[in-house]
Amino acid sequence: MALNLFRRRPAGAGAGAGPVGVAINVKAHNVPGAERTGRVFPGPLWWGLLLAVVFYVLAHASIIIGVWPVHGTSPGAGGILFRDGLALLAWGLVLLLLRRAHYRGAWGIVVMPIIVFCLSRPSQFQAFTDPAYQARGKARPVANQAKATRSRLSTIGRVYTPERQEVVYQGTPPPLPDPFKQAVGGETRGFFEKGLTYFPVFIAPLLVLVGYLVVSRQTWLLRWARDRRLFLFAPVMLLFFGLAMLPSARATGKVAGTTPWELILPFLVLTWAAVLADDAYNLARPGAVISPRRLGMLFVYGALPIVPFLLIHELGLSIVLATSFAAMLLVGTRRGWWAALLLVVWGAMVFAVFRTDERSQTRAGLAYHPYRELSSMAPDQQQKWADKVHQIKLFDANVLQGDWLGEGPGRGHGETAPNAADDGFFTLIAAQWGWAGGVALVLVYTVFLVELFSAAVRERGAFDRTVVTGLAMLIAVPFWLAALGDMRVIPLTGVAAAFAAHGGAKLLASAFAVGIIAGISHKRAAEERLGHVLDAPGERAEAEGVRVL
Amino acid sequence: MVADTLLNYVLRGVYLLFGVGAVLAILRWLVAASRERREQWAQRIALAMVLLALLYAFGHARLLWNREAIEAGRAQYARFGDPRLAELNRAEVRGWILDCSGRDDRALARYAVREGEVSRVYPLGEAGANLVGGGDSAEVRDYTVERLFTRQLRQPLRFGERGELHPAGTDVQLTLCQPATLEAHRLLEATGLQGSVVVQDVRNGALIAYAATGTASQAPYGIKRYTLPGSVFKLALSALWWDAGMGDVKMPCPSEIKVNDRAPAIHNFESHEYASLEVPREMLVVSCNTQAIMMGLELRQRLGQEAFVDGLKRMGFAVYTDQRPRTPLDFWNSGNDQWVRRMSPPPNRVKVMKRFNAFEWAQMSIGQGPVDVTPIGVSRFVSAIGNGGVMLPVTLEADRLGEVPEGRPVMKPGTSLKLQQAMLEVVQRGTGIRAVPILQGTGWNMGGKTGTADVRRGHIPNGWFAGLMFGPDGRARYSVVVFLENGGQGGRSAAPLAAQMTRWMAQQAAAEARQAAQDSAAKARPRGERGREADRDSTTERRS
Repeated sequence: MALNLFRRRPAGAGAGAGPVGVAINVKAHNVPGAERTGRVFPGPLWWGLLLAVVFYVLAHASIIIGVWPVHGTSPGAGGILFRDGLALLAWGLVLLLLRRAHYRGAWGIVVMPIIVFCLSRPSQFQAFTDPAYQARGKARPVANQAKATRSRLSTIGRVYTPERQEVVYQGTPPPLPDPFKQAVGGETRGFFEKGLTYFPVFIAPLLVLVGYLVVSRQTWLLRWARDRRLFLFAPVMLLFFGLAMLPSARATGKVAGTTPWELILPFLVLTWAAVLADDAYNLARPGAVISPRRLGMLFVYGALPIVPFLLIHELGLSIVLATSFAAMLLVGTRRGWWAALLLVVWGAMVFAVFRTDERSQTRAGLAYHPYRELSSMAPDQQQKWADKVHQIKLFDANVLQGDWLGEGPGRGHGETAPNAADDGFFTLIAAQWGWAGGVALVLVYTVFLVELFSAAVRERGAFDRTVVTGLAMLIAVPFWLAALGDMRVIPLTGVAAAFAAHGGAKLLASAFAVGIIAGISHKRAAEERLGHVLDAPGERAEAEGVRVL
Repeated sequence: MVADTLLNYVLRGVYLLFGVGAVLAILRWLVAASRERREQWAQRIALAMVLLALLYAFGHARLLWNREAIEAGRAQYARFGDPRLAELNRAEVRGWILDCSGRDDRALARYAVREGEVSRVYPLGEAGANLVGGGDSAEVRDYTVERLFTRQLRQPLRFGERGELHPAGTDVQLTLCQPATLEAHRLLEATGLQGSVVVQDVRNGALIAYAATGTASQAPYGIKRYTLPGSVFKLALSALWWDAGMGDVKMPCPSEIKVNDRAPAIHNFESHEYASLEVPREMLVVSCNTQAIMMGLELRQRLGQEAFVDGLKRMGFAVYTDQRPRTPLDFWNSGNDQWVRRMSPPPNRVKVMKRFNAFEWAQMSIGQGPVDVTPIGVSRFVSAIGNGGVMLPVTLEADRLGEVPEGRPVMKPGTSLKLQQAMLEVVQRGTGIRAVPILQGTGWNMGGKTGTADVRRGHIPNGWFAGLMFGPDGRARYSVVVFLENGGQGGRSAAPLAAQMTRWMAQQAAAEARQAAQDSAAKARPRGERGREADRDSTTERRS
């Protein structure tokens, strides 16, 4: 079915091609405002994409030439390189297919994540192919040590004259150790675990396409989700609660070694958007909100989904969902007092959490006062706090190492920090690209987010507008939590930034969300184009929500 | 790997380019958004994203601005394990610290295989721990070349290294000579006392040997420690006398002197007395305290206190009354600010009372009163005597020897010659006579001034010898300062040690001259002859 969608249709067939029976053939240069129809790939985006792809290839090459021989590699490094190559091809394929499917939405929505991916992926590539980063548990320090020894030997071999080498070695130089072999001897992960790490990177682009097709071509699906929201909401919540009640989920927040929670979020956003779209008028009036039925509805669809996250102590994801819902409420009802009320409630919640929850208190302490005076603590307290500070200490080291301009691709030793590829991704970027690079990546991501919210601005229907806002928030909030958390502006929450940091479920869910937004954007552009052509139903009717389907 | 480095820079440039492009895109959007009248709240949320980007930029920069506090925090928690620090220390290849010869096999800090691992080693061992560095964590110690020259030692060796994951560092060559420092340390250690030996080249102020007791974590003993100069101060007094044109006059040298009725009498060492001696020369030779006191009082009376103080200041002494003088930062001829800040010794200083006190003045004249000096400060002063009265800053970095400043005249050239002559006499027939047998047969001479500084009552005094090594041509080559805490009389403890150091330097110079002569002779011989000689050698070797 999906493949049929890409076949070129005969002229005059299908909706949007002009009045039935009339074939219009207008040369491209004669079409006024062609850029606005979305068919033309905007020039700056095209050049940005091209530059990002070149950067992606060269940065990988630089790591292979400059880092691999010095540090050695983990087993499967070649596979990771192959996977990264496939991912790039997959993104390219998505763009080609969107062109083929006459995509008319904002190109920035689909191109910006590719640029972000190209700019950030090489840093992860270096971390994932690093022998010490890939080693687990006690094997890690062993690998770290062997890696360092190998580095010193290779530097001496590269730089010193034979005479100086003779002074150093007084004979035959020691052999270069293989850090990973020395530490663990081989790959320890099973096929399933390895697959979960490998596949999302090149499946994600295809999910963008799926999301786009679902919205733009199978319009009944969104309509069904809106009209029969309980059929979607009830099973999703049952599944959600069921998973959250599992002992492993309550203990570690993981199910079978994975974190599937991110995949649930888009469905919750869809149902909340449906609720808001149905009752936007009443929810915009303070008097109407205070009714048992409406309050119950707000609780069931707006507050209940956050409960499982609290059960599994996923503070980060609960913040993501809560802020997304709040933003949707705001955009759906267009009422400033909702914003003020939400801010007050939000502030009270944050205050309460950080006053009562010990874990949150610790996180706040780690963000704002990590290096407590050791002499003021008992020895066992010192050890406990030192264990907690360990990660922050290394994240800070990354930031300081990168300084203002960074050390370059794969350089800077950012991988020595635990979870540098996900929780501490921005510190990894800081080590390699410095303050300038970190800010550049954040600005590029901001452009992407602005593109997503601009799609919401263009939407006039309450449902589409709130869906786009909610999905955009699902991408935006984790990004800011991660970026600001890494720089200790706010406490770390452990959520990853989509398209930039590592994170399988996050990447898949975000790619799907981008696909949905692209589909909605395309639909809007197509409608506007049709509206201009037919001059109907007219500006006023459009403003009142009348739509052509 | 220049290409790799260039690629590194290009890729960093691309990142910046994306940043600039994003800023332009955001500005464009802001302009469009200001005209947009449709969905205000979505627009405002998008605007909030831009503000958050600014917050990120500030937050990131804040961490960099607080670098020192964060690094101090990390250092505090380093003992609980820091894999990054461990990896970097193990992996990095710093530059070597080379000695005055610049030879790899004489390096003061280099890499070598130890227990199967390539590690940073410090061939000077304990001899260099106090100045160069040494031990497992030399780089975190405060007062070492290894620590204070970190930036230079980590500076990428060449452009191609800048793009490397672990760039090899740049070597730092010092003026310090490994064999001389080892010898100085050996001699010092043999005494079993706390102390310091400093040898400087008088022509350029280069520090040739430095040995001091104390561990690497303590402030360098010979550079930072204040102590009384004892009779070594008489050199400055004599310089003032001659500079003031007061000539050589005969004076008695009584066994004791009372400067006023209330003050106790000040004695000569072992209450020696002489009917008449020519001051200042013979005063220096026998180290007559009572004469020095009379000279001090006479100088004050003839010149006035202000001129006396000015004279001391000219000679590098900081003269103060209430507030202790600050450490001047012109002591070292160094391009390393960190070194200058951390390692500049406190100035040699003299305290002058607000109201004249004859007893204090008398004590000062013999280096027992309110006078404080450091061994390296004395070394610099003595070097000035050997350098025609011109005081140079002390140089430790070999590459700074090409940029030695002109120096500051601290005494007249004639005065410096007179002092040199008197110092030679001190050794030949004065308080330093125990050095003579040690120097015999070397062709070198040593002149100097002994010093015995009383510490607390009942304790053995500190011993000093501040001298000059004269080469076979009779020219002063090196200054040598020996300070021994509780070493007793300077002429008995410090002077023989200085003589042994001089003897060793003389032997080294002779060996080097022989080697140079052999080398030049080998070069001068015709090529064919050298070939035949080599053949003859190899034939002999085969036969044997």
